Amino acid sequence: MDAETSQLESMEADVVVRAQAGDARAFEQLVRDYHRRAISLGYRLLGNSEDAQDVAQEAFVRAYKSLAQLDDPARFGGWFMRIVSNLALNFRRARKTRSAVSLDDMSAFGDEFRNPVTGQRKAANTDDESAAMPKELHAAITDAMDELPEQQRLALVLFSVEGMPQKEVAEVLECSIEMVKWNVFQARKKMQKALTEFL
Amino acid sequence: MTDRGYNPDDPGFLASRRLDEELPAEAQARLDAALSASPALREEAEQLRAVDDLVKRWGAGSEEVDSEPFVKSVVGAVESQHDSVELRRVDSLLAGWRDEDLGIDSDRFVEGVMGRVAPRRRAPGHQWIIRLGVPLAAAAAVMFAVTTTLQRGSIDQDPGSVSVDWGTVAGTVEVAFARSADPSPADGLDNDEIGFVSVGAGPALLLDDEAPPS
Repeated sequence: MDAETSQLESMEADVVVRAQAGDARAFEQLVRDYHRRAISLGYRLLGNSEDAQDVAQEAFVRAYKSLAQLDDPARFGGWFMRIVSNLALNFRRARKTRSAVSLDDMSAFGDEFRNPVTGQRKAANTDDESAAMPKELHAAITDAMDELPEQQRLALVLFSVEGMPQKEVAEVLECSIEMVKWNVFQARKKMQKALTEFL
Repeated sequence: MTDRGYNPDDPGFLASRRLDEELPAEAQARLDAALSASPALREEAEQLRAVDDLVKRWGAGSEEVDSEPFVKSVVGAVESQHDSVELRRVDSLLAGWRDEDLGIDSDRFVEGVMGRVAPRRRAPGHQWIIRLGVPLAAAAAVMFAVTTTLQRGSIDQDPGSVSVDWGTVAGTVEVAFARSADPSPADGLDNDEIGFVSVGAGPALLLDDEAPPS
């Protein structure tokens, strides 16, 4: 860990401590710092921007309620993302049991998809990397992701998509770093089989 | 979290780890040797790399975040929870206060209490002298006075008094007899010899500020 990273973590821990002491502005700072990651993770796990935002908001409220229980302020990131992932996975399970899965904001079969954060529909991107991806391929990846076991999916999304350090992913998954690597590998192998025709 | 089938030496696993640039040099050398020997492994490694690229592209490009509305909605939701959270915080503080380590050394505490209690349980020697010695001495003085008087002859005479001085306790012990209305011996014994008992009289132990019975 370099000095800059260490300093940032220390600053964040200070914000967390103030939030734990009841400083509303400090908590708002945490919301600003983490909401993109929370919504993004929710979106990757749920495939729906509205659900992702609902889950992210609920995660912040729960974090606020139980912030005092966080023993190590420096671990807020992993702790909070675990709340997000748990809520998202619970939401996903509940949704499956309702058999009412709606992925209407995915670009799978439509001409447009929603911005995962604003929820607004927008034309398929033309100005980012995913725009270069054919819709059929995007849908295939989404489906393949959907088929992964939860832990493997979470490991792949957190590590490869969200770019979280393996150590933080391990905290979210409550496992060892070695198991994070193994789950990422297993997820990649399954994705490889599912996407054979595109490789 | 499943670790089913976990094999740290799996060449595919090593290839996957190399994609993440965290493979140690020694493992890297083993992987390179395995790749040279196996075209199938080389193909698998290439496909893992392609999958990784696809996943990253799939996850990219959806970050046009209009933060303010979301942050405001969260802050609003959190504020509505404020009171209950404050109460919970107070509860948490109380729990911490209750569980606070007071740094009590139980052994030393008990020892200290017993050290202060023990002397009170054992009365000092001079107190025992006062409690037992004074009555015994007074009784001895009475007996001495009575015996002396009897040896002199008549119990009509005032048996007299004895001065007592034991340091913290001092005074005069007087012995007197109260004659009963019936002077005849009730027990048939000679009054002159042990009249003090037979005439129903009893010795009175008086302090010097009290008058003897008439």
